[in-house]
Amino acid sequence: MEAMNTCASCHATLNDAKLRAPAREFGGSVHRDDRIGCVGCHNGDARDPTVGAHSKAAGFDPHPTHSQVPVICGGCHSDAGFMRRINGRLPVGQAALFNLSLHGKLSAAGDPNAPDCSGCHGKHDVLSPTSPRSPVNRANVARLCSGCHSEETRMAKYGIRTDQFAKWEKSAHGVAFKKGNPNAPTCTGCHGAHASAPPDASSVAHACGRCHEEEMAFFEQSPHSQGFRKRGLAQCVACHSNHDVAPASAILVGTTPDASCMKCHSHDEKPRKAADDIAALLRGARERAAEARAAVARARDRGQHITGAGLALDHVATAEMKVRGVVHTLDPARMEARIGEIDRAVAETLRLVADAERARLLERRGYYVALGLAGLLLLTLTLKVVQLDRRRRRGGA
Amino acid sequence: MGSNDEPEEVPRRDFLGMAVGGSAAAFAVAGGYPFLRFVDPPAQQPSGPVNIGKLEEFPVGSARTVVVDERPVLVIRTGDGFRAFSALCTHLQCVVAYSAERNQIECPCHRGIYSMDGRNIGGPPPRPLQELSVTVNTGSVIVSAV
Amino acid sequence: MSAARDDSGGWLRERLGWAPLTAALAAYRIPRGNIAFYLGGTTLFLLLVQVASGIMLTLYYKPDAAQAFRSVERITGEIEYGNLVHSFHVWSSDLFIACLFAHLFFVLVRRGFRAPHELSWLTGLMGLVLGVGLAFTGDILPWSQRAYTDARVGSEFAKYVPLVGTWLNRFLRGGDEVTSNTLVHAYGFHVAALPAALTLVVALHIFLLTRRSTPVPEEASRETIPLYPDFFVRQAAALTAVLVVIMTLAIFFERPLGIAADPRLSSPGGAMPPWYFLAIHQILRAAPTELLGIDGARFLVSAACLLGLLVAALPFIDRRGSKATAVLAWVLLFVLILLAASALN
Repeated sequence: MEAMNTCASCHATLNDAKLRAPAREFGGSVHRDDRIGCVGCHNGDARDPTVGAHSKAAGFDPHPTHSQVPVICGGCHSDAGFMRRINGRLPVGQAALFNLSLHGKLSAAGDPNAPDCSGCHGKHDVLSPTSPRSPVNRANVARLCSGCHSEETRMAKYGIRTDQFAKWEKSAHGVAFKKGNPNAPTCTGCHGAHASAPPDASSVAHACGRCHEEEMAFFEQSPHSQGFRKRGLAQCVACHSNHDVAPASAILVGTTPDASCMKCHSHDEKPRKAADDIAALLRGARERAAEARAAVARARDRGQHITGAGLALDHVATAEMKVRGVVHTLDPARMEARIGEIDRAVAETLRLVADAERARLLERRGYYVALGLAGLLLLTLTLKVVQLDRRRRRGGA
Repeated sequence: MGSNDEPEEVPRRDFLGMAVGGSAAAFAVAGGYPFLRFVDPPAQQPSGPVNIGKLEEFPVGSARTVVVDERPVLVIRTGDGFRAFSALCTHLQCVVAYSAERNQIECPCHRGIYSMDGRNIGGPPPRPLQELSVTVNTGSVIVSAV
Repeated sequence: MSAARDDSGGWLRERLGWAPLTAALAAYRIPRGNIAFYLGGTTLFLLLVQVASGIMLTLYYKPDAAQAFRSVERITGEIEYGNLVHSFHVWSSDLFIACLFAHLFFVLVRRGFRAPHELSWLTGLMGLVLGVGLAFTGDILPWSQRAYTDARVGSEFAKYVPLVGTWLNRFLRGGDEVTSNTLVHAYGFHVAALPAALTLVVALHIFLLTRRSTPVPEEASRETIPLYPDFFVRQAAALTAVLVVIMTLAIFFERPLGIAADPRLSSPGGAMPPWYFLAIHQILRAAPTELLGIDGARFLVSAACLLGLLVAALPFIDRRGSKATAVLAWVLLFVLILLAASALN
């Protein structure tokens, strides 16, 4: 098919920079394919090299409205047949998902604050999300979202907070993300992209559980699962918070004022005792693991290289990680089983350290034995020298 | 000159000579002990689980010999799953191979025959093949000594 | 101790020809009561200790850039008493160089190089060169970061040696750059070429000794003792003491390996060469960029090489062994120690 984009070639020569820009930007975009062209979105007649291309008859529309944009984009991106020909790797149906989202609903109602497709992806300069320059690239998407969601004036009328990005940046997730951990979630990791909708109290565990599978499964087996639902508490978030989730630590559990348990259970005797028990279990395990690490470190400082100590400490760390999951059951018996794994790994580590220390002492003892025998040899040799001297003098005399 | 020595000189010289020799020998044994121990090579430590490849690389009904801890291991995948045996014949440590047409493990050196579960069923091998455990984890085949 | 009684002493002695052997050894006289005369035997003994412990280390060492460090780490960490054997080898190497140097120094100040001992002097100096070569190549073998740096700096310094510098530099590196080839090269020299050459030199050195009736010229006025058994027993006591020293150093002062060589890492700050290179290191560090129109470092290393040649030619220059030579030797030693000490600050 004869493909011509007379729009771009003409707009590129115009004096008005505002009219030139779209032609230039489009040339670098992922849509620059001649099968799409300017007319793909704006309609009109691209074959006409004159201003006649702006043909109302051909449906030319220089300024698609907010609510029209998803329809225009969806025109191609919901057409599986067309997309297969242009870019078979790309999924279809984003427009349908978008319409389900809060962004989509507000946008359809004409809310100028709600983003349409171009709000996130750009207009003429749409890039593939894999491009590092694309605003929806994984590396940039948190900044994109915060562009609107951190703006207090814009968010005021929806009654949502504006501190999510700031909190996320400092959270366990944000820190891991910044370090380049490919599994660390950015905004879309929990909220989704096109169908973005805030998870609510009853569903947040599903968002978290996509990665924290074991924790979710254990949580659902716990008495908290039912209790939280009845009271409308937000599952994981109730203890861990959401955007500013901190690295999980045993401090969460217990009866100290900043322990999560105390948010609800500060006055109930039975749960207080359970929290105390669990905290004691965890504290004990943590202290024993720390002791194992310290023992290896002390040996290393003495200049001892202990074979297998590194591996043994890895086992300690693995067992500690496994305990973190089982805490969510709130069942001390099940925790004890896994804490037993820590203890076994700790015992193994300490055994290796003790063996090395015993070997060192044995070596020292061997040294003193050899030293004593060397002394004996020196003594007999000295006597021999004396004897030889005496005999030589007598012989010489 | 020795002929002029007093009579008691002879036993004393011998005694002193023996004392020098004895203490030298004792010191040599004590000082040499660590060196003897050093020359004695330590036992080989198993390295733990070893990832030997992707699941797709082991079609059902196939057998492959892989190296785990510098020793050959025969990995067989049947319809029932994976089995892994030390590929060293228990007779004289030749490397055994899987025979698809006879569905058994054979040692080419002295016609030792093992069944598919590693039992020694023919020829000179005195013991079954040593079995290793195989697990499949997210598409990777992992072998570890039992 | 009559020859007849010794011979009747046993079947083995008869077959060894023990009596004529001990008679020959007894005829060789050593001045009594001077510790300097024990240095030669001690040096030889330390060489044997190194051969023995070195052979043991080859049982586990892997001369490959990818595996060398790990294998030495295995020796010091996993093999029973490996740490001890490793320390033993390294400490006895240091003591070997020190003893060899002291041996030659005392021969120098006693003017023991005089005729007819010229060849003993030359073979002794060759032994020192080979011994330092052994220490340098051995230093590279663990392929730790320090070994890697020493290989680089040491071979770079060889460049300044006149005439053969460029060749020596490439030779030490096993190519144009310090690579895994350098390690394999160093290994070959450390375990085969240099020990073989040193064995020949030592054999010649001892052979020359047996051609004379006394190790020093014109010392007849002093009281002497026979080499066998009097000197041998004293030497045995000295060697026992040396063994105790090495044992103690090896047990209580381990020689840490540091970290594996990584060309991407910057060289450790304040890097120090092995102690026997400290003086020359300090000379190079203090060298001006230009001296008498040529590269300063090249000038100083050339001067040092010239000095070495002078020392080697000493028996032919100072035939009578003047007192001035001894004084000069003490001055030189003092300067070297001063240089080494200033390098440490």
